[in-house]
Amino acid sequence: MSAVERSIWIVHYDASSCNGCDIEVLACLTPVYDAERFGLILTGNPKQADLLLVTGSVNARNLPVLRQIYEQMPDPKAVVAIGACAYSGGVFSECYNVSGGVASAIPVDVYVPGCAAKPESILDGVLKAAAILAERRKALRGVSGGTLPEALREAEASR
Amino acid sequence: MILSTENIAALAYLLLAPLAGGLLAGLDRKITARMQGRIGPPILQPFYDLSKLFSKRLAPVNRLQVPLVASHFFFIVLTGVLFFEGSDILLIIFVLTLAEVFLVLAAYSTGSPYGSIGAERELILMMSYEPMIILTLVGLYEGAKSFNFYEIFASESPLILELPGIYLGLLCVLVMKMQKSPFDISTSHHAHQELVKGLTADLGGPALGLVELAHWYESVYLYAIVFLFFSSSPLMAVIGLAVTYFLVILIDNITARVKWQATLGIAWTLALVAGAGNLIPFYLITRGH
Amino acid sequence: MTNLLLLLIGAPVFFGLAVLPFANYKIRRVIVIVGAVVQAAVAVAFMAFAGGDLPFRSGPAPEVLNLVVLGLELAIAAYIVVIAVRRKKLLPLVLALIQAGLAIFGEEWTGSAEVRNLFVADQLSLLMVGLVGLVGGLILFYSSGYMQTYTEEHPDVKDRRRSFICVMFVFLGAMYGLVLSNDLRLMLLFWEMTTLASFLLIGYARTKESDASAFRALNMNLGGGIAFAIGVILLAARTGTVELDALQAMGAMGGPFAAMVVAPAAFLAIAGLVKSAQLPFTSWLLGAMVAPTPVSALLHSSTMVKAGVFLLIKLAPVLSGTAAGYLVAFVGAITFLGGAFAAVSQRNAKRVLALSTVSNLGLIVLCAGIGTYQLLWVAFFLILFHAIAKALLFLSTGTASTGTGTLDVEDMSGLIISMPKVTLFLVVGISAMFIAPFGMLVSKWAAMEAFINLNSIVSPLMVVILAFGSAVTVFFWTKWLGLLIRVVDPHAPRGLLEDKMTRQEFIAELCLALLAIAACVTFPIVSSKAVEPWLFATYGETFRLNQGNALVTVLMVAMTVLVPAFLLLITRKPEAFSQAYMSGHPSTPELAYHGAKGVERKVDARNYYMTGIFEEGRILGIGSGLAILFLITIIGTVLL
Repeated sequence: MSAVERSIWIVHYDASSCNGCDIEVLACLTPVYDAERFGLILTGNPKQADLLLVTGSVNARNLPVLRQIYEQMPDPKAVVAIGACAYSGGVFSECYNVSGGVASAIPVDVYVPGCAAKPESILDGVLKAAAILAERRKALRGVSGGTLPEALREAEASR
Repeated sequence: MILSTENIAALAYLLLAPLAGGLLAGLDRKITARMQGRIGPPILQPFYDLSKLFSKRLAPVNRLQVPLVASHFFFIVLTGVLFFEGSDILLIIFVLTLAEVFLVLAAYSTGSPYGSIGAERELILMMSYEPMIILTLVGLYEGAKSFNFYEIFASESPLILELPGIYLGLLCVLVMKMQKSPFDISTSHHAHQELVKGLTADLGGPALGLVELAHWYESVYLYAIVFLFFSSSPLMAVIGLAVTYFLVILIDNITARVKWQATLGIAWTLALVAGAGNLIPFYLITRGH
Repeated sequence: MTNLLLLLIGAPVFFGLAVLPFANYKIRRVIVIVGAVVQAAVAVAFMAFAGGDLPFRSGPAPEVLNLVVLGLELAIAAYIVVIAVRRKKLLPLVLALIQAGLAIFGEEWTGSAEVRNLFVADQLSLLMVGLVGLVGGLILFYSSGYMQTYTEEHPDVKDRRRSFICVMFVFLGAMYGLVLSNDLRLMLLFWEMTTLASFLLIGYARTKESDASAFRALNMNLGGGIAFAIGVILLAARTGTVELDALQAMGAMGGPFAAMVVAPAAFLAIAGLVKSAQLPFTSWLLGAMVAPTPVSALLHSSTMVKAGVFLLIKLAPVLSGTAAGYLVAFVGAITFLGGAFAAVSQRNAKRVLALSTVSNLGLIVLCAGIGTYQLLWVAFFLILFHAIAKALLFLSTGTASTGTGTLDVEDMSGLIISMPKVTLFLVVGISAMFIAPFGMLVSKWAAMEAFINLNSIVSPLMVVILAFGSAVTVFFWTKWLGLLIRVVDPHAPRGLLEDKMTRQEFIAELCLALLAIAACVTFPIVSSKAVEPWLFATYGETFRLNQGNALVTVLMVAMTVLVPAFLLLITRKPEAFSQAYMSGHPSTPELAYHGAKGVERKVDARNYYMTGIFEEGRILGIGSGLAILFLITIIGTVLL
């Protein structure tokens, strides 16, 4: 495992979750599941985070917020959508205000199923995202300007 | 060119302090985790964190941020190098203040209210510990008659026995400088946000990595100052450093953060009672009054 | 040489009178600029010529001078009486009459005193001459531009610029006379002239507030002048001389001679404490901040208040080691601490500067009161660095407040965008006040080392006071510094508020900023060429600046300036800046955000002022109480 995989800093955003998945995320940090042993730290600041953990579905109020948090995270970054609501809106997908899962706002890399998702699943999902992050870091290396998709294209072209 | 012992020590500091500082940080996290009944991250974790930070894209908020943070880093390292070169440590502590001011200015420059509050709380913290640091250095001078690290090291007197009050005050300062509870009113050691981490809220990636690295350099010579209290025998030095290190972690884990008013009040009261209360009689006795 | 000295005093007086007949502002501006430059040139010439062979002694004066001095003293008293009667103030009337009475009554003793040297100049006097000439000259140069803007901005204030500039120039002449006088009666005349000048200048705006402040300054300084007069009379009565160098020599001799002169020196010291606005006399300086900026810069930070500590340093051979000396030192220590603490809760920029001035003067008084040669080395440099840095800060604050329209520090937020040039000068000034390795910090460090090595019972207490005082200064200076570079809207037009800044203001501030840096870089040379010989001549031993530390300090000044500048230059401007952290709230580039109910709110942050803890009235009140105790003890010990 590369250094990037061993050190993942997470920002957690509750989009419109019932807090069920959030409680499970918090449980990951407790001594029972101990996320820190994988080098996972929950930071509240997107500027210092590698991974965005989103619970709950997207609606008109939280769409711009979600987008802004995603934009404030510096590359390389990844997104994990936790729970059924984050995937598709879950039980609330037919509601008048819900526009869908997290993918309707920002690109998602890993989905963690469940309602609520179990801490073990969450940790599993995060570690899969870590591997994706490691790939992205390799792609970014040696590339100076542009956004991540361009960087990926350039890396492909130069290979 | 012949290098003196001081030059070699300073060079060693320059090259090895990141290693030492990182290991101290990693051990800190491991011990904290065990105290909390967890397994905790590997001891090398801080190095993984640092490497990850430097692999991120730099996204500053304005033109001043990165030069200010880099200046902060430069002067922290310079302070340490001068310290191990045997310069007057009273002067060096003032240079340390300059380094801290650069970091505070970086936080102010972004215009974010969190940055501003974080910067102010850091200033309050600096105001809280500065009297005690000065009293500590003066106490060391009185015990060893020198402001030079090597001469204080060489002095025979067991400074911890002569300056217990000052050591207590220094412990309080150490808790503040290592960003630990109950005095982590600015930039807490643990990942908190907004008010409490406002100082570094707008720093990410390599800029934050520089601040971390500077913190490691700083912790090495802070512990070197602690070492001077126990330097009269190797056994005492090892025990003293270990106990101090452990005490700082223990205090962090058993206390909750206090308000800034309490931080200022407790720090200054301790500086007056334990610091001045130790220094004044000690000075008068050693000078034969 | 004596002719050059007389030219030094006379040239500014000439230029001051020369502006009076001209109603045309542009002609006056030329005269002021020429006058400022000429008097500075004379000052530099005097320093160059006299500096080769110090101390310079002028020889005696003609007998008639005594009568002239007495006459002028009475004239000043009469003028004050007239003002007091016209404005219906009893206290200045009484004080002026007492002063006149003492002048006449004292002739019985002082009239027969033989004065061997009317003027004496040593390195300390030359330092003051240099400060008055260069810093004073720059301030006058500044005011030739600033006062025009001031008059436009304050149409309610009657335009009395002619008398304003005249008094400023005459004041410079009086300062030269003050620092060069060896005859204490002559020095007292110049001392009272500065008091009168201060009164006239503070009251320039003729508002109720400025009148009250002017009279408070007048009353307190008249009181100080009375103490001075008592000191001179006591000296003449006990020893038959009125010469300062004789007083110093007697003090240095020790034994019964020294004991005789402690009482007169104590009274002179009290006059010095009043002039330097030490507790409990601080309120006159704080009130004097209502005066236009050049007045605050010239009189109330760089020169006139320095006259007080100048006198205290001159008295050090007499007071050092005595109970009176220690008590003077304690007054200084209390003021140092009190001024610094009170500045924390201040939002008015000029008041912050005033409290900081008082605090630094307190430190100088502390050093002078203890008076060992190491501490006098520190005092010398504190005077040098503080005069330049404070003048720079006052002038820049004046320009800044003209631009922002207020004196509130909080309104200087983001000044780096709206007034970039002024911000640069403010940054240099503020840094020079408290950042290592600039001058003030180096002096504070040297003071601490000197106290530690003092081996006295009071040493550890002084170290504790210094530690707490300097901790607080970091707080309020960095707060201000941070405000200046706190930019909420980086796309605002640059230099928006700078259009009212005149060329004279810019040049004056630039020169002072360069002077401040030059002083920091050259201080080891100044130490070895001027200060160490001065200490040796006066005390028989000198504080040799450790060359290793000196080198480190100079290198560090260079690095503190160059490293950030270099880093700023090599930083590539990124393609896009990211937005400041606003906790995830979508906001505009100006950091406006959508708050509750979607209402757009602008962001705002204010600094901590901690008025609960560091409230000025309470702190200065406690300090004044203690200081009064010390002063009463001084008078008690010397008279009993």
